[in-house]
Amino acid sequence: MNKRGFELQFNLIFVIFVGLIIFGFFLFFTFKYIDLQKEKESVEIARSMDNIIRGLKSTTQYKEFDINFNFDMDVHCNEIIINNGLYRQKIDSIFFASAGKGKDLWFWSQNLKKPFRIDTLLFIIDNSKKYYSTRNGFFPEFVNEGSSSNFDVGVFFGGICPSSINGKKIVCVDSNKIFIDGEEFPFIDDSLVYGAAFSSAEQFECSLDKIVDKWINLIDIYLSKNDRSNDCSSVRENVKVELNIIKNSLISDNFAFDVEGLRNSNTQLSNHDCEVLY
Amino acid sequence: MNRKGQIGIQETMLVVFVFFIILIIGMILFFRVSISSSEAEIEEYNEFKFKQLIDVIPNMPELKYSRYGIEDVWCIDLLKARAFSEISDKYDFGFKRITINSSDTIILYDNPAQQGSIRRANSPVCLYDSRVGRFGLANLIVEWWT
Repeated sequence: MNKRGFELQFNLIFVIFVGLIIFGFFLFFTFKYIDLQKEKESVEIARSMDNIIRGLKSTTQYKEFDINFNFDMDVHCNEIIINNGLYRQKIDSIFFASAGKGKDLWFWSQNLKKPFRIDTLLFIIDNSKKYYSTRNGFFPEFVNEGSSSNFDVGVFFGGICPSSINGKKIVCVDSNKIFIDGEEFPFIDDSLVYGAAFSSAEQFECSLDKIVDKWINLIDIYLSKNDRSNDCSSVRENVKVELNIIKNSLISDNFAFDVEGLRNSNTQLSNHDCEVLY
Repeated sequence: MNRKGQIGIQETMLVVFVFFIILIIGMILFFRVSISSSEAEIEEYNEFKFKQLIDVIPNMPELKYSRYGIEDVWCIDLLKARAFSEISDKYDFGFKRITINSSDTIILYDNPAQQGSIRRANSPVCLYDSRVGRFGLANLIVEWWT
């Protein structure tokens, strides 16, 4: 190779090398910038979610999640993971949700009362799915309703439970049990049927455990309040007995108990001109 | 390669080197600004969540006053608050201390951090004492260790 040819080849290699480095720099810069923007978006998504959740806890009952970003949402027991872990939104409320794309989400809250309020349950509804129930009017109007032949999630009441249908989630409810794709859970309240429809079996189990823990804590609080109250001692004894029946049933995972006894004892307090418990 | 060519390549390399240095400084500055603005946003969000606790706490079923299960009065039940303070270690509010100050002080939750600065938010709340059937005013204080 002559001297000129060598120079030309050297220049070419040098230009390609420098070009690759510059290109690499810009590529790195672009990816980092995208990551940073996504992280910012994730914080904004989390903040918007938080605003809605706080609103639902006090006044509003349902709200569409109106945000301009498309995001990936993964659901864990205590948190929602936004954009593959770029931000983890801890949810303090007991909530029901399933993983998916945050494109068409609705937030809905309902009080769980047995007989006093245990918590305000939060439902995060993926309205890109179609929901169907054998009970007319079971789903509220803002939920995307399907039909018996076209649904993604089906809720079946009255002991009729279809065998699994490919790709569809089946929730069956009989008098004291809920089945999510064949997995059995206790039936405590209608609000938990919504929970079963809007969440996965794992998420449902986790939230159910949290409900039971909170319920036991509340019974301890009411037992203590009952002991500290200094009126109507005879009726308060009945209240104590009723609270302990519920507490012991919950501890032993027996959900087939009646809260009417406690409700009646609470009314009796009032009939005796005493302060009610709850 | 002749001397002129060598000087030419050295000049080019110097220019490229300076260009890279400027590029790197520019990128570092850009990321520093972006990261600090992101951190500020996260910090602002945490602050906002902290202040929201002032709204959240009186609405908890563990504390809120109710009659026949109806919670139409925005008030904390004094006896429930005392009972809650005994079991609040089962709850996780992070490094915080939550106190109700009325005629006496009820520490609802106490989990201070060993170090760090303290932020404080407080708000007047309604407090109901069912033993005397009286509504009163109290001060709800939330302290947060950051």
